[in-house]
Amino acid sequence: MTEQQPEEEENAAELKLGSVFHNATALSNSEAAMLMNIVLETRKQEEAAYVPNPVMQKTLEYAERFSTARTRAAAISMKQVLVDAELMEFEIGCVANLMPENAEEAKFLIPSLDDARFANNDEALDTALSNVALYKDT
Amino acid sequence: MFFHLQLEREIELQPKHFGPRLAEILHKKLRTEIEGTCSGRYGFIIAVTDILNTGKGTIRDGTGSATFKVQYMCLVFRPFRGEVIDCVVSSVNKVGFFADAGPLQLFVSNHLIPDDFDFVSTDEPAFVSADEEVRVQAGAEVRMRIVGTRMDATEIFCVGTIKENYLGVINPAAAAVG
Repeated sequence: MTEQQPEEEENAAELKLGSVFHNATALSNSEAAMLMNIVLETRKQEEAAYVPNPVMQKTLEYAERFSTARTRAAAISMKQVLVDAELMEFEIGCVANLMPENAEEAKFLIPSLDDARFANNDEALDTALSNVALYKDT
Repeated sequence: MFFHLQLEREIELQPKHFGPRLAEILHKKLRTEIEGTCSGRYGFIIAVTDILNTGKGTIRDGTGSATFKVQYMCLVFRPFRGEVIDCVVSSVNKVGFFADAGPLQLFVSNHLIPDDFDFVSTDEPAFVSADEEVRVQAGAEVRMRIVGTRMDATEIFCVGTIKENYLGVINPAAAAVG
């Protein structure tokens, strides 16, 4: 099997996601789980005997297990807080999944956050993170 | 990370399918061809969520089949080097442990596990912290950073580390019922 070389070196810590993903819509585990459940519902309505393939089944279990928002409203609210805080798509997905408790943890887990936006402004990031935490498990 | 991507694919249909249910058959064929597959470029394709456009089919010279350029939205799972991700440990041995994140398998070598963890091979193999409070064993939820990805045409495999702050076991394996 030949190995595909990425066109440039990919690195999430610098938000280098490659040409396919750099503008793509990222989904948190919660959003992905909700989307998969909608797809399953629709397919079961078309065909009562529908059974998802093993990859989808495994992925749905994973996404549900590591979901942080339990309802669509909570997921939307979390995303809005982070959009307002000027995070990039990929960073929003990471924060929603990892739920860092403060700016220090967030910058460590998601290094791209440590840039001009938040280098001297931990407060703005802390506020956003505590607002996101309000919706956790709701 | 999960993404909602717009992609395009050429689907070929044989003449026996040209009829009132053509759109439905096209949709089903797309799903069968790509759902559950993995590519180095797009990641694991989990599900086709919408068909945007099938266009007009073009009959291929020489055969009676028609090809359709189908544009669709799909849910994919694609890991990135540098990404921090939560996983479930699947097996542990003395050189490290394997973990799963949905369809993706990752490996953490013992060199990238903190030095104060020792491998213990009594009944349930695990890496155990010096104070015996933390056990990396099958079923535990672990947060790791992806340090390398190996992508080829149809497979992705990742290598991770837990040897950093804020990484490691986030939820121990469920206690065995004795």
